[in-house]
Amino acid sequence: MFDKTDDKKEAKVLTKEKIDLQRLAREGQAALTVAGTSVRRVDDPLKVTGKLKYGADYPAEGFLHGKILRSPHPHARIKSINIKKAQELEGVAAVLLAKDVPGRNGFGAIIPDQPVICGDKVRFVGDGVALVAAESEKIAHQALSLIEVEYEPLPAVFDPREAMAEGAPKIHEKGNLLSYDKLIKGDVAAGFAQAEVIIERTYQVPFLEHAYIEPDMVMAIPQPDGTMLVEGPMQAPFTTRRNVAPVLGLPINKVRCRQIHMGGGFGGKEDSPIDIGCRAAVLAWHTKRPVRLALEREEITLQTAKRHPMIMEVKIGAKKDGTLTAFQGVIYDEQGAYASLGPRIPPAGGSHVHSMVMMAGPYEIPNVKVDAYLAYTNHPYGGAMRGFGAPQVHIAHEQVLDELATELGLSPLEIRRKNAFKLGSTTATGQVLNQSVGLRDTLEACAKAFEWDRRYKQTGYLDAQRSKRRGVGIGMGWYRTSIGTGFDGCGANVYVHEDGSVLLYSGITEMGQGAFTVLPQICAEELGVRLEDVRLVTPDTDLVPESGPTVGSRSTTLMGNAIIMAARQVKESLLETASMMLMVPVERLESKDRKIFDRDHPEKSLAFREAAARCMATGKRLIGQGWWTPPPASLDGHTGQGNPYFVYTYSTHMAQVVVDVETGEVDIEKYVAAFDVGKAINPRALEGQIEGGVGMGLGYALMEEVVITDGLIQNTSLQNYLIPTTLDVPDIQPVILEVKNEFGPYGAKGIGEMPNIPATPAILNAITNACGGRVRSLPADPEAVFWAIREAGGPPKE
Amino acid sequence: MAHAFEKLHWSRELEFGQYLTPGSLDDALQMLADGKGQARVIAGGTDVIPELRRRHLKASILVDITRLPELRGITQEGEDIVLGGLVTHAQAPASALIRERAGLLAQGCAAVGSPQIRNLGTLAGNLISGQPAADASIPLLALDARVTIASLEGEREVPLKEFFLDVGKTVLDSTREVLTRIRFRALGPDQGGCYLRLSKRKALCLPMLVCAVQVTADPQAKVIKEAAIALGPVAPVPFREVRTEESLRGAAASRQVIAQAAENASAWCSPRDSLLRGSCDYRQEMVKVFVRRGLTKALEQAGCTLD
Repeated sequence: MFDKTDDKKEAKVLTKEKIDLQRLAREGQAALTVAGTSVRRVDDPLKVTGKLKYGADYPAEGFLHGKILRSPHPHARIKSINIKKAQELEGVAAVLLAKDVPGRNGFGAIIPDQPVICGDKVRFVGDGVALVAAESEKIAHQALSLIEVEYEPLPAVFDPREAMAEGAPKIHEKGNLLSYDKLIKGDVAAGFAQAEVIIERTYQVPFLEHAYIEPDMVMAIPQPDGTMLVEGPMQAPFTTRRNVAPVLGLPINKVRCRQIHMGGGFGGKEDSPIDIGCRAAVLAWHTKRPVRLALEREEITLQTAKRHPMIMEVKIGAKKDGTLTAFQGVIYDEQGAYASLGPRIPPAGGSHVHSMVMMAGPYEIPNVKVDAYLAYTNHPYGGAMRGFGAPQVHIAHEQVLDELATELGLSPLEIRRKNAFKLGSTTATGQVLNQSVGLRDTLEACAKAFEWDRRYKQTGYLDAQRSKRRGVGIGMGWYRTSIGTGFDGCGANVYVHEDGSVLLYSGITEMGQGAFTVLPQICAEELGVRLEDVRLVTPDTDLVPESGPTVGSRSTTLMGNAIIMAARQVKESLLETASMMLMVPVERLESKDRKIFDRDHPEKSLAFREAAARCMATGKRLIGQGWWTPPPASLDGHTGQGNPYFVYTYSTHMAQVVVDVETGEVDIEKYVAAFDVGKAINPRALEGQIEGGVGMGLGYALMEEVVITDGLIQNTSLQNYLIPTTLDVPDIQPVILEVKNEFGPYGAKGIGEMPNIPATPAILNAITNACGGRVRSLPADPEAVFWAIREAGGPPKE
Repeated sequence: MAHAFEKLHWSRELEFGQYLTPGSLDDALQMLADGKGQARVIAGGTDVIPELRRRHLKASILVDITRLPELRGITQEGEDIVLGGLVTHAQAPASALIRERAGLLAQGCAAVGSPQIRNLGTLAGNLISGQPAADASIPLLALDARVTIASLEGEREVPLKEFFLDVGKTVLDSTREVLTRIRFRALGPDQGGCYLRLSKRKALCLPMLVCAVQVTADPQAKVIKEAAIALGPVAPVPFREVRTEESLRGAAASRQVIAQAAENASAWCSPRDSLLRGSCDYRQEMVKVFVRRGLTKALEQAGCTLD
């Protein structure tokens, strides 16, 4: 655990690079008092006492209830729709069709290719063909059943490779290949010629559902001045606003999106509030009444975005000593019916491009080629989910590396020691990693905490009957702290009041990750007040500056910097005023713990609020605004070369499992996860991120899978869509290392998504080490493990 | 192919007319009779409510029997254990009598759902729902349990072997009858039991396979006197592997015999291919493993350690 002094020492010992932090924090971490401490999250008391209001807690009185009629066909032409009976039903306020959408009949996080209401055809089971608003949910539901739609079914396609084939049914007019991108570094042919061992493997991963606890809901409330207010649990209020406005045919300033506390998002609530937000807004626009649109769990599974499924073909070559010479990958990335967050946003945005960039892993490989195809199919669509295209490719590179190590007779640890990124390494995109590269540190720290050498030697059967066998595995990973697009800026406002209290305005949303604690910590630190002095304003596009979406593990770092910049503007007038009051030069003044004092004579001091009151009384500025954009991203459209993301978080996980070799059941006995996070702003909250993330990665490895037949999801409820329970998740030992990021607040970089990424391959690799079989198509549920053991010729003899 | 409206559209609202709370069993039976087929018994509601919500079940009257004192309690009558119709999945494993003299039932009950579901859901409901791999039904079937069913016409006792008819269907008519008691013999010193379960996660998960075994042995002679093997889901109803049981009567308690019995049981079972819960081939293989492990453990409990 982080709190143990050993790990803290470890972190310092391992901090090899000397980073100049002048750019953002005047002093080093030793002087920090609020940032860098394990404070209790500000929303915890409200959550555990049930006082926090989630979407479902808002009263429904006065609202119409919105419902969506969904397509029963994966692909069909709409011949006719008869809404007469539904309209005549008592209590129905509106039944809307495509022609009723006032503005653009399309939405989407990147490309507006998904109809708000389908007009000519439907592209997946769940596509919306009509909207209803009624006085009660029951009437709305009944009205849906009275709508008569005549369809002409069209041939459907459910596999990205088939979708790309000649003569495949065309899902969108422009064709089914949504994106093809490639990455070329060096010469793979030459690289494979140098290799002494080459292996080729194919790995496959299914659609995954986010399964956030809180079901989606949204309220659209028309305002007297013609503005549309859209409220709901949403990860990206600005993205929602950017979609609702054109759908209603309104300028952006006539749509206001306000966040309600979210019960989990994991990337899913970047997309879903756009979907139901646009639809509820259209119903509210027509009826001129507030409309509430809430999805049942089954409807969420049917309708909202998922993690992209992929087929990944990998070829890797190495010298006998384990030095990697070449890596070639082909990704068949299934987008499903609509573009969502799949395609490229230049230069390096979009999940598909992110997958391509990350595919060769955090390893020095001189020759790399990746071909990445993103194809439409008639399945539900892929969107953002914790890791944004990275978890899939980690499952490929971490497994193929282990398979290669086995061929070479090297241990999983040795092959990673040989090839892992270090300071100065060049990535597959040709990016030189010139700062904050703690990957090898995480490998060594993890190996030490896990006692890898001992455990690696002690694998084998537990019982005389040879039914249970123990094994260990490693998963390594890296993840960006940004989104690689041109519009990756974050704005923050800081207002100090005459009593010393502070309001912090930020558009970064809270979904359980801790932003509403960490961001005020940074603000309090920079101003020199206490955490409880800072109140964060709930994100509301009418009040807070544009902050971009709360995605890409970007909040702490990007918004943290914007907050520091905003706070500094206010601090400048506070210190100038204090300087006159104390008769001490500004350069000698310091603000800490509600006091402004002379660094050389600390007894010379005044209260922070006294300086604030004087500023107010003398008309000095007490408002600051910060705007921070990361160093520009680059990625060549033809070669995939450039600097797509400005800094990376690094991680190594180690797992020990026991496999029942007769049934295929897997039990995780021991788990250590080490991270280079730059700087932990709230170590306790960071541990929470790690534990939740590992649990999620475990689900990907062992049980999660959206099962689809003829386009219809078979496991829509949480009874059949399985995510890990507390009994499935082992005790997770986090190890936190801090190799400072020179572009981060106090050296921080992102952590939100990293923890789940190496967990999946660490567990998969441990399973193979234990039972001899390898599951190359997820999930590794008991049956899959059982057949993998059979395929390997039975369990190991000893 | 068009998928059904009900699979794509959901409503939170439950539909039923009256909710009645009788004070005695006679009242309850009268209310059911008055309902003329439109009434349904509700106890824990852990199956009835979801079924109502999914509109798989329609009932205009719900008769809540949870306040009937005559349906409570776990008692011992001679060598028999008797469970009232309201005994829950939490109460059964909390009883020392059940843990010590019917351990396989305690384990089965503890595997059901979550603590909240176990606190509400009754063993009687588990039987009446008629699911082929119900966690309490399988051990009760291995224990040769009998159930008492009451209606206005009187009481009848039915052995569990004759209780289940098809998936979701039993001999009990829940529009007019109430399951009042479950009775079975407590395990004696020469007996042993075992409950095994295979699922994709460790809690709140429908099983891929459930197996319950009861054996009576002669530990001195190392002979199996009687064996009961219940399995699910390998047939439309909770299944007794009668042919294997017969082959074990009087057989030697040896690893070889057990391995052969496991092979036979597997060959005679025909689980369905299920997208969500495993292929037929896999589950047949698992029947083999579970019958072997189940018999071995049950015999150990009966005092027969295998060589």
